Amino acid sequence: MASRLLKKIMPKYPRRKPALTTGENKAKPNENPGINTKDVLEKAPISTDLDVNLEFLKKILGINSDVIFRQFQVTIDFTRAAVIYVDGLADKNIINDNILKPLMLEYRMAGFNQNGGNLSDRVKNIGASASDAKEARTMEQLVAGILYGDVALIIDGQETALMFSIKGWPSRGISEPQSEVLVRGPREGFTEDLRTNTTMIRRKLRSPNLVFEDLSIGRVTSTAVLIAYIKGTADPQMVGEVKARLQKIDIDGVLESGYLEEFIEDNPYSPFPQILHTERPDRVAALLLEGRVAVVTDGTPFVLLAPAEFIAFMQSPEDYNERYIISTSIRWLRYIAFGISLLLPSLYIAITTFHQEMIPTRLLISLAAAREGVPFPALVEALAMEFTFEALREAGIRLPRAVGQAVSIVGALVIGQAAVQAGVVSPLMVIVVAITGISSFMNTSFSIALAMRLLRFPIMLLAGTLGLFGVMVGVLAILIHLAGLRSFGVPYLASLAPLHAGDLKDVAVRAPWWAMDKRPTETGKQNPTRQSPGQKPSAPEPGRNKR
Amino acid sequence: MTLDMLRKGQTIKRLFLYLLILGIALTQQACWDQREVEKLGIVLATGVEQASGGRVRIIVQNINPSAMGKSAQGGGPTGTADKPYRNRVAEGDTIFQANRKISLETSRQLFYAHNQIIIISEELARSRGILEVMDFFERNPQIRRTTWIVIGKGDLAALLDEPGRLETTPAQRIFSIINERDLSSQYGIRTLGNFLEMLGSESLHPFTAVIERTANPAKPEKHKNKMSEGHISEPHDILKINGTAVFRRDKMVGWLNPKESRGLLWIRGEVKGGSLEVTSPEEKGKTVTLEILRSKTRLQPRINDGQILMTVEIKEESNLVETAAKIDLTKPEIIKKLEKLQAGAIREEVESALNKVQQEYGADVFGFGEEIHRQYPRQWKEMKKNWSDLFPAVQVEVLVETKIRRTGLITKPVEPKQQ
Repeated sequence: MASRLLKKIMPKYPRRKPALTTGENKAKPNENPGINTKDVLEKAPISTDLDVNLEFLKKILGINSDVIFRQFQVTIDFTRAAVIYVDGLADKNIINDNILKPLMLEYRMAGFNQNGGNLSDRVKNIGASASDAKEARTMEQLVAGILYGDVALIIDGQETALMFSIKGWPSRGISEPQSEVLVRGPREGFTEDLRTNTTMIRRKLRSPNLVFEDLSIGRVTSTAVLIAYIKGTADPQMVGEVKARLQKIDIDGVLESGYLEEFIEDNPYSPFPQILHTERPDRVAALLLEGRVAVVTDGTPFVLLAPAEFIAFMQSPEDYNERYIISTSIRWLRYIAFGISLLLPSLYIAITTFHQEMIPTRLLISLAAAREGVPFPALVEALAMEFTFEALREAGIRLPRAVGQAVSIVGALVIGQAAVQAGVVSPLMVIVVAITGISSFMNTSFSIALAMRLLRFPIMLLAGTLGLFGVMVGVLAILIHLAGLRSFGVPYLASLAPLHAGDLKDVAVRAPWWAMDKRPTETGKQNPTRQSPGQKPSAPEPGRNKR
Repeated sequence: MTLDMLRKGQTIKRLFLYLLILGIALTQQACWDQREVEKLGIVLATGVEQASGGRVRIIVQNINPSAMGKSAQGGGPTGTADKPYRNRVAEGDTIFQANRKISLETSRQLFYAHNQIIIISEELARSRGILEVMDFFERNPQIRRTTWIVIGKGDLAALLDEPGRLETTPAQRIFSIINERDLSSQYGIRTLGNFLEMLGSESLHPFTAVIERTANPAKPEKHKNKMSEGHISEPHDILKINGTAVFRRDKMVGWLNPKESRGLLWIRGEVKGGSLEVTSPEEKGKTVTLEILRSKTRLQPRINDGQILMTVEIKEESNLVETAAKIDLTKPEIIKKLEKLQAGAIREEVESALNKVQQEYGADVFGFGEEIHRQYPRQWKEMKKNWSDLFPAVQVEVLVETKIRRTGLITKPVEPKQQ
């Protein structure tokens, strides 16, 4: 609602500032030498003189104690050379065994002399045995590579330098994703390391059509960002759009995919997430198969997926692993819980303060008995309790694990027992808040649960002032807002509005796998057929297996 | 840049304006119809009786939720201390006036939406008619049309203060009794909506149940053991629904006893249970009891030379539940005989109701007029003008068809075999 209002109020205000040009960049005073050198680097070619190169690099990198400059001689003709790398980012063993050792000790054996061409090629082709080798022609490439864990090999008299990619920094091992736990499903979750993450996706989708496109975002951080999609399944226009939006971003640092999310979503004023994020490789793989596009960011286990319509946030990966009948019921349970987490406190307030005739007589009597002596109106009571609950929840997350538990125990006691006994709140309100809390934990997507948490409060205010009419106004406002949202051009309520009847097989129910022959309409336009139809299993015909 | 900032400043100003309007709209209308639950005086029953000088006296049963809640919890002060309800009485020229007089003595605003029963005193119903008092109940939006209407015999204040189980109110007790009406089918009861409909009909006359206070036969004459403290002995009197009041237009003209009431329900097709007794086909004087399962009634009017003939076709099914006579239920012919006897018993009930209503009260509570209207719409136009004269002369033919479905766990009653 707010975004609608804002949009109306500020129609001419540009949504996103146009990407800053380098001209403006220069004009800005900047103390950080790392940024200042960018322009110098861009124009600097690699000199044939090793000393010039080294002097240049030392000027830029030499102030850092973790950059190693190692000079040596290629033993065959005693040409001087140097390797430059960042200690800790590059794997030292590989440098020793596969670069320095062959060049310094094992040349003669390799018949180095007999081969023509320049020294650089010869080193690359015969000398160094590290696998991932590239040629760099500019200092910019060289410096960027060194800072991302490559080893630069500069040989005197050569116009190009060699870059060996032997990244080997310590990283967290693969562990179970903390924010999306499943009972049945793969236990691995993404890590902070981009390469590990792409490995996990690649291992699930062993197809040449799985494409990773490189990007680098962040003036200072130069964070590696990959766009992943399945060629032939993902809409190329969608891929182009994602890429274009990412390329427009000009920010000094990208430390988490959330930074990017805010730059590329369609409706920046909405509380609803329009891009899905997940820690689970299996979920990424499944959504890529539906024709969506993933954005993998280095340094975070959260991968973004777009487009993400409302229903995508309601689907848990476990739905597809568990039996479909059970998954369908659980999905409905989730829909109901979604409604409860948004509306229950408001309905309670509205009905108890405005529409007592709607309550069954006996319930009304026990309600009146429970509220006897409670000093606050239901609205104040509910707001206070919800506030306490949200505070407890937040405290439980932020506090160190050991203390966190203590907080929740104290909270439960304070809310559950003491407050009721002191007559400050009614026991029914405690039940309402507890059910609301439990329901909000049932959402599979944390980000949509957050939106519900937030929207609950304005609806409670509406309920407390206008009764059920107010609740209806709130719900309609949210619905209208949702209907207006888009995620990368896909209507947010897609499958429901606009209605794609065929897609309801994965919305209203979770159809068995043998019945889901088509991909979702909005994302799978490019390649609608998922599998061949008519695969429903059945028992063998009687008599066929007779002995 | 400055232009941009200016525009931004304006938009923020406008945003504040919108928020201000929203805030004022939401808070300044003062929640005019907001009522907290605990501030409501929930009314469960309303009684109306006649007062001197053409005035009415109303009696409302207000619940005391905290007392009810406590006794339900089991803890707190003992239940005897807090009465779960309070009755409040006021007199006035109209019901509304009396109603507002009650606000002089109660701290809570009376809330009628959960009113389950309207009791009208027999005296008022007989002498003055209920048309005037009905207006309030029909007009007030809080009163539901599903509220039961009953006629109260005697002093209503006494009726509504009959002690029973501690945590319930007399109103709830009457309501529960009415909910179990199909176990006996011995009184006809109407909801407010139904009653008003009948009242406004061109041929129908209303009827509803009568509630009275009678001595409690369960109360022993003398207690052998003294009751321990806090225990309450059986109350002196009990509330009981007894028969049906028959109205002519808005005035009560008579009363049908339980048997005649069942006859009325047979004709209206409203019998859904209850017990039927027939004498055994083999041993005279011994009774066989049947439990009514379901019934269906069809009214079939015919007009012959100005003579109205009404055929009442009743189809009934029952279970045999008790027999004092030795009968062999494995024999189909015995069952056939019992079914025939049963039909006779039903016909007798129907005829007793017909006699009384047609001859004594002359008020069509059966719906004969409506049926004729449906089947002979043209003739009805003439008939309706003097329907009250025609109704007692309607000839009624009662056809009953019954079935006995089950006979319980045994087929033959136990028989002492020793000589």
